[in-house]
Amino acid sequence: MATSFSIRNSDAAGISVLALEGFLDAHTAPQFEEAIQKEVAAGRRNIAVDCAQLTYISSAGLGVFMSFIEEIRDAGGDIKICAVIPKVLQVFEILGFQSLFDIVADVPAAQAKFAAGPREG
Amino acid sequence: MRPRSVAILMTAAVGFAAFAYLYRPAMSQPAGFQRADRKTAESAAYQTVRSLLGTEPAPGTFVPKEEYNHSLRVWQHAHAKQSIDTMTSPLETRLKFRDSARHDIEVSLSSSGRVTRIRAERKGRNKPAATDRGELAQRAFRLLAGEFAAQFQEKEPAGNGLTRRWRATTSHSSLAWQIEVRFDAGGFVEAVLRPQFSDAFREEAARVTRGHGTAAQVISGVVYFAGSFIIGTVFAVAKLRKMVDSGSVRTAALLFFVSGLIAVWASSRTVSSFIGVTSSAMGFLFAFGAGLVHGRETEWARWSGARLFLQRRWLAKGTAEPIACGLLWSGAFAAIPLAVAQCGVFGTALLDQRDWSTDILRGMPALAILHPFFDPASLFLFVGLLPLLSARIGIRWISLLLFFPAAAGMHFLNSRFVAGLEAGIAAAAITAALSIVIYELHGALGVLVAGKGAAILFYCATLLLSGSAALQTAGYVVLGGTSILAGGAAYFARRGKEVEAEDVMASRFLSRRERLKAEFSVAQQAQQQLLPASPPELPGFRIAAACQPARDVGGDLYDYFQLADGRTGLCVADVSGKGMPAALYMTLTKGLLCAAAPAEKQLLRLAGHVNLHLRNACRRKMFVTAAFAAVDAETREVEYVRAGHNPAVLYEAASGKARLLHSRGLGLGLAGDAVFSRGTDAVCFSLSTGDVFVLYSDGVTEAMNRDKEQFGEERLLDCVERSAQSGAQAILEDVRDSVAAFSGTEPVHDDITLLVLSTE
Repeated sequence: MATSFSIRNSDAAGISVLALEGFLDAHTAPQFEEAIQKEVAAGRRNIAVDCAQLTYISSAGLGVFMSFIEEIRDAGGDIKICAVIPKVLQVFEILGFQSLFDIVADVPAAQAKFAAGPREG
Repeated sequence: MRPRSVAILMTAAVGFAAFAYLYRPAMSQPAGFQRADRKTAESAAYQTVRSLLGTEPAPGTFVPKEEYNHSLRVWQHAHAKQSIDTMTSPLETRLKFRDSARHDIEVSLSSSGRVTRIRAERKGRNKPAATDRGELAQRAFRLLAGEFAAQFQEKEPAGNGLTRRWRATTSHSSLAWQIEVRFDAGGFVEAVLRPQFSDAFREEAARVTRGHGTAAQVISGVVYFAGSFIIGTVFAVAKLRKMVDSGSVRTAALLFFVSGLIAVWASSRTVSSFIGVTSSAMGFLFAFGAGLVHGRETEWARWSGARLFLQRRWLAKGTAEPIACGLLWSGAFAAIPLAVAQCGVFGTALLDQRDWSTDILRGMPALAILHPFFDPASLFLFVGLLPLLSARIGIRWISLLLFFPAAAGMHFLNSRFVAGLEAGIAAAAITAALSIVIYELHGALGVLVAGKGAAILFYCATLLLSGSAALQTAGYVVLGGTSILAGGAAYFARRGKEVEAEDVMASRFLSRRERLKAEFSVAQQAQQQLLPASPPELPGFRIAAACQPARDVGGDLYDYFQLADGRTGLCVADVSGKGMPAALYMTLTKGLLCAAAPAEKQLLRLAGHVNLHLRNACRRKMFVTAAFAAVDAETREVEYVRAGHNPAVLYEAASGKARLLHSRGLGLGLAGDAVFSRGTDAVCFSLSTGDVFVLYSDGVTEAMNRDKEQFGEERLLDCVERSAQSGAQAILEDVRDSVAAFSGTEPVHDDITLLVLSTE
């Protein structure tokens, strides 16, 4: 299955924004993993993942979020998930991601969440 | 007897008959060549020494020794037209004795009685005077040239004036006779009559010239060795250890070592023979390694004999048959160059069958047995090029056709010709064609044995026709030994045990892909056995379930269990990811479920238990989504927990509608106990007659058609509504068929799992 996936990296007021585009599945998950790994290695722990252009996510893609969240939260940071399209949001919700992550409307909302301080629970 | 055996025997008979018919006139002694008997030889030697050196030989110190110049014989067959062309015969007798002046003298005579060499080694200080040199040289020359003296011309003397040479060119430019008389400061050393080959025979001529010949052989041996080594290394060494079992390597090493020893014994004069045999053995070993690596896909069956041989299954049918058949083919193989040589169209030409020594010694046939008629290079073609071609092209006869010129070229390069390029090409082409036929019929071992058989046949025929009793005996011994070997092989080919090489070490030789495939099929079976064979008996309910993995092994699971309060549990779970890792976690999930269920009364706590253990056991990337249901058969109450899984389908007969049971729930293994319990709800509902409850994996709803459209939840609900009345099994089949019809020829990417509970 030919899938296209890309990640754009940007910085918004001290928060690393990873904008995902296309299909995040078993083939492309390592790319995403590597991108987060880089942020963590560079000491940037406040990460907003912009999913506005993300059209599909598989369990492997979901797994990437899970594989870093603990480490990042232990270091005082967090991953916020922004601007998820309904189809993808449904996948997040089925798995119960809303209990694990802050899923917000857009990047500024994520910035606000970061500003509000550490997440409860 | 099978028709195939009859055909092979007939071909063998024709081949041997043709060889016998063609070899005899080619190799028998031309008229006028009589082997000098011992008395004649002795008196001729005395006479020569007396007239040349003027000393009296001391009797009783004779050491007769016979050697055979094979190249000379081949040349004579091709060219002997006039008497000077056949000055001497190829069989040489040597006599060693001491004369009255205490010289150690060695005299060589050809079988026609002509003295070809006189060599003197002085023990004392009693030497022929240096002033005698010119006269002595003339005398030696006349002695050796005899009636042909007029046809020799003296060449410029060598730089120090101690060596004088005469040369006579025969009617064919490929042979010149040379007489050389050498002195040192002390006096006479040696007078020798020797053939000087040219053109195609330059190599042999170089070997005749001692010293230079050895150097050339050593160099060619080293080049050959290095070539074999480099090619072999490139092809095989990297994988040899993985591909060949240590028993085979030991056998090959042993054969290589023994052949080296025999080579040293049989031809102690030069180390080059040892190098030749060594390189051949090394080449064979590497070629075999290459065969294992490269021949495994397409040429596998044709290497089974060779593999069995190296596994020392020498009495097995699979080894004996190619050996017997190869030996039967050897007659035809050996006859080909002779037949071409006989063919007037191409002129006179003869292939000299790859003997690396010009003289046939008594130990020579032993070398013939060891020396592969097919050089390793030819085998490399069979194991390297042919599989490559057949893998690329796919149609076997086309790849054989393309392979043919390369095989013919290799035979051409490996042959030595007396004359005639066309004849050489023709002989090489026919030999190559025949070798391909034998390879197709009897495999690599068959080709190797046929080639060896041909070499043995040539050597034996040469020995039998040499006219020397000792050499003839050696010929008979080798021929008899080979016949016994052929007979034994034929016996075991019919009566031997049927052993498959694969039986011994199939796992070693299977390609990575094949091995993985085999392992996957075992894993698949194990996994299928983990799924419950039949649904539990639940009064008033019917249950049907199925799991159809997208790959060999899947990450989906369905299971039934019994809770501590007696309720029956149902579960469908889906491990994130695919393939083997998912399958392993699926097994773990099943185990956790089995272990925890009998002690739990609450479904949510059971889910929490599995969640906790999965979280502790798994890497963070891995998680499991699951849907659980606990059914009370008496009250028809159902408790339902959705742990991050696709929402279950509930069909209510009262409304005739199916809907999805959305509830809050987290995937298993994602979060700790607290977060999981907080984020997951247990939902209760009761079922009425005609209601249907369906658990499924996302393989159902995410099945795609050609337009990349998903099957989706709507279609699933429609499907359940449509067949709700017909019972669990029918509903399951309807959904499965609908999904299959929807995706059509599109490949299935995910496991499809369904568990249907219907009420009666």
